[in-house]
Amino acid sequence: MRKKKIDAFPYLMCLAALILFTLFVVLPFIVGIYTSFFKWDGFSDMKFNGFKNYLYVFKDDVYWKAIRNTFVYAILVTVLKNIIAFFLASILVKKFFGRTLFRTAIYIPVTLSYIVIGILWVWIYNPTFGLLNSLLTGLGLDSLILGWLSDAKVALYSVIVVDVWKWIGYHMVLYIAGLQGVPKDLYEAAEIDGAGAFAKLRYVTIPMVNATIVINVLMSITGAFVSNYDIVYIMTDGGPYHSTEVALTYIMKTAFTDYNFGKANAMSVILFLMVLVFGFIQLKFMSKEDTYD
Amino acid sequence: MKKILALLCTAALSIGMLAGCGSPSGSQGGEASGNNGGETGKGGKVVMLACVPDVAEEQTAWEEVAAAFQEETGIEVELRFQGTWDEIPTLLQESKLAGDQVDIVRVGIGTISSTLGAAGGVKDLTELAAPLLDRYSEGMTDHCYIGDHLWALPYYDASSYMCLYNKTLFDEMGLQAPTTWDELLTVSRALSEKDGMMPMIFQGKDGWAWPMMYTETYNQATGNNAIAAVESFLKGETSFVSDASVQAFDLVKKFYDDQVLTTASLDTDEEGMIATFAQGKAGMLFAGTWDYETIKNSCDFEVGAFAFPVMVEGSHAENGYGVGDYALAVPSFASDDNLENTMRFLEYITRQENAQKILGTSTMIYEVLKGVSTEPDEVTDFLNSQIADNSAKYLDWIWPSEVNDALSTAIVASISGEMTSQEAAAYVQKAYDTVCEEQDYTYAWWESWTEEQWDNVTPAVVPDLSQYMK
Repeated sequence: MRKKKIDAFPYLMCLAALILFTLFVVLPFIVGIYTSFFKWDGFSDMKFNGFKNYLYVFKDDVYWKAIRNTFVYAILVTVLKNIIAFFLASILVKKFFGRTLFRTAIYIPVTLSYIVIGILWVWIYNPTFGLLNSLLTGLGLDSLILGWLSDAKVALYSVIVVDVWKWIGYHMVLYIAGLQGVPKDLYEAAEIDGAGAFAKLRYVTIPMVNATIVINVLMSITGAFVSNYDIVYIMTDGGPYHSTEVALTYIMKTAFTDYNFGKANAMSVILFLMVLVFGFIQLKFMSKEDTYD
Repeated sequence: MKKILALLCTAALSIGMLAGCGSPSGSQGGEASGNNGGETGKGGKVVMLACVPDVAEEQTAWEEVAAAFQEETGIEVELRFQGTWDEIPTLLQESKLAGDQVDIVRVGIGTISSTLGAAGGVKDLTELAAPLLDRYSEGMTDHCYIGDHLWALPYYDASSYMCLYNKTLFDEMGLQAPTTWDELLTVSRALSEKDGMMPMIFQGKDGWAWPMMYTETYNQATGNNAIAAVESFLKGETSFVSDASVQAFDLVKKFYDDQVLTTASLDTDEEGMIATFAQGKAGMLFAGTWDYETIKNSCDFEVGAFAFPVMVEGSHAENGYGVGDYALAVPSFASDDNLENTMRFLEYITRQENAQKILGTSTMIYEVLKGVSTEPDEVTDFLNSQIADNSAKYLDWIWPSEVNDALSTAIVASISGEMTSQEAAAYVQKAYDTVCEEQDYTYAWWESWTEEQWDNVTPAVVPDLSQYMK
């Protein structure tokens, strides 16, 4: 029997990336899990702590408040980004004068860093010089003026607005690409069958761009879970009284302000498990083999 | 052939990336321990880790002084300016883990007090730096002693909290700088009547700033006995839920209830506060002296200073104050073999002419090192006059960061009506209980240290600096 020859070349080409990934992602992750069982301030010797760090995390009200905020943040950001981006894409996919200008203008915030955007919006929300309050005053809507970042009831939503504003351009572009791929004859056939605008959206557009929706939702939800640190840190640093605290800002404070690395790593492991379960459910729920491929 | 080339390219790229991730000092750190500071410079090498100076001229001055030091001694100095002041402990940790050479670290004494000291992160300088102490003005090294041991040498201006006012505006309106709470209320009402004017502005959006105001009210609420009260609380002898703590929360809240501060302060950060004051949108400001230079340069009107108003009968105004915002310490992992070079550099930069060159690049309100100062003005004169009897050490240099964070949270919650003052004090107490349980926190850590822990921070040799001193 002739032995099948294995071509080592593709594996060797992947090896370098695999080694780097192991060194900079897998290994730190394993070390993180390991240190979560120790009491460690980064300077002194590590002391084995068993599951105590996990116990402390379960008893930590602020951590669970931060987790709740993280989920609220992730869900709202995902929903708003996708609805607004889809709406804008469905307008900007059509041909009209100035379409490129609008597309570019909406996409520009994507190119800016969170630091720039955070500082920009902190000034927009500023109660004394801020554009938002000045605009409301100019419109005679003084009653709507709020402490956008100081009122615990609205601060988290103020940050969410900024994140949505930054990313809708990106998701819009993906939706435009998806919408451009829908054959026009499907709409014509639907019209012949008497379908209205909503029916065409429900039975033609959404099924045809399902793969794009799945990608967009996955990207926005994972982004909202693991990339919310910068914007929250710049705009509120978790305040006022932890009302905008998200898991990442609290983990960073525990590690690098309180120097409690063991507990911070225990928090990270718990967050990882939650995101893993959430992501798995989401993927199972949303992906359909027939349309996703 | 193409495949071999592709593989070689991939291997080269990977090796390049890995090499790029290596430590900047490379093997120097390792060699430093046995080679009197590495291979560079005839007399070895000293590495200093510090945050990037606020003023660009300061960095240039450091480089010039380091170059002159090398010329005089043959010892090379590597200045590692990285990150911001609060990132220094993390950078130091990274250096330790990577085995990098760091002989001097410029860090806040508050960080040493709350973290690095207890963790055995810095060497005991009591004997090492003794010959240099005469160069400091009286009392200027006091805050660097913890448990009767010296852990760092202050190398920056001292700082305190301050109340400033728009003197030009006050003169126009016929107002006097307030000294009592009632006078502050009168002035605030007069300012409020001016169109679009806020009486006072504060950086309430910055959580770390709230303990500043609390320190002032707590000093008064404890009958100017705040340090003893806090030490007693941190030793577990008394609870934070006391009349004084609760009253201090009430007094901070009073600033809002009586409209001295408006809710705009809750949404204003440090830059916003300075801009608001400089643009004449607020008549007064409560801040730290580290902002004075920026404020002075931003305002096109005359600025005056006044003492925090007396709010508790029988007490007097007492500003939070500290020497050692930036202090020079020697990491415990620094090689003892290089201590002579390290101490020679410390000796060199604490010479009056060199210190003036470096520290004189920004406003020196207080004369920390003898003869090192900048041009005084009315405000700096006033602030200096407050040191002797009207200042007390910063509380956030005494208690752990978890307690400080809880205090910041509790103050904002109390002002917003989310917590009563009693609940706010209980919240701080809970944070203290948690840190004791989770991290075995001990206030007087130096009392319970083992011989081994002391050995770890005690220099094996004490170089004789007198031969180098001018």
